[in-house]
Amino acid sequence: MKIIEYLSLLILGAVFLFSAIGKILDPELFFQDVLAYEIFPRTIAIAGVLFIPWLEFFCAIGLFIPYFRKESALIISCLNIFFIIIISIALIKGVKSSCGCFGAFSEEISFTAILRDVLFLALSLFVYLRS
Amino acid sequence: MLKKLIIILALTFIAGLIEGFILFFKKSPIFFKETGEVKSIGLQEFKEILKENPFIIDARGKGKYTNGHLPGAVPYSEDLQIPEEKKVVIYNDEDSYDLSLELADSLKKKGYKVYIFFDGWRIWNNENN
Repeated sequence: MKIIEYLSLLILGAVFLFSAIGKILDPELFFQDVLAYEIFPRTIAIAGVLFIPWLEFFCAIGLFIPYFRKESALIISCLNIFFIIIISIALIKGVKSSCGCFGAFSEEISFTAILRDVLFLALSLFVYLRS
Repeated sequence: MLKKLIIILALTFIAGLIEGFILFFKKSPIFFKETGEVKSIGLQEFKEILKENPFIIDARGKGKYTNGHLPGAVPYSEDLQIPEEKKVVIYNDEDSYDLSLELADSLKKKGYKVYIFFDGWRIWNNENN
């Protein structure tokens, strides 16, 4: 069980660190992706572009620090639920655009992106419950 | 638990705020949607306008234009002949920011419908690669 926990930590930490850095390095591109969802007004999109990548960044780091692990896993779970909801809405609306999940390396909004986030949600809940 | 959550959120808030200030003073298009009378557009709006066969001007200079440009774009020069009925899209990068705004303003005054696509080539290129 311990091995699965460490593996979950490693996967989540690496993915969220990669995702955060991609967005932090290219905020304009991330902003275009957020606007393309056609869900958020501009001011909310600006706040999202400024704060979500840093939240991902600190939580990814926090996963590797036992003192912050549980809280980081909890926030990452909430983020994943949020991502699943907005990608689902965009899919239902028929938005065809980059999902913005990994900055310049993002793929198109798709059902696969939702499945991936469900997997990350399961991993983060597992880490939360085990911490 | 609450204390630790607050620490993580506070760090996020501080980092986001610092980034916000940096982007604001860099005049990032994130904060400056309207540039005077000229409308700033994103990738989706550009794709929509592209269907109307607009006149696209690359404000970055001929060197960068040669290395790659938006479909149908022409490099900026002072003697451009722009059909009056066409919408004009100008795209730029960080180095050509001021030039693109001046060009957009002058075309707007001549009666053209002008749009600015900030950092257009990089955004287009990222989307299509």
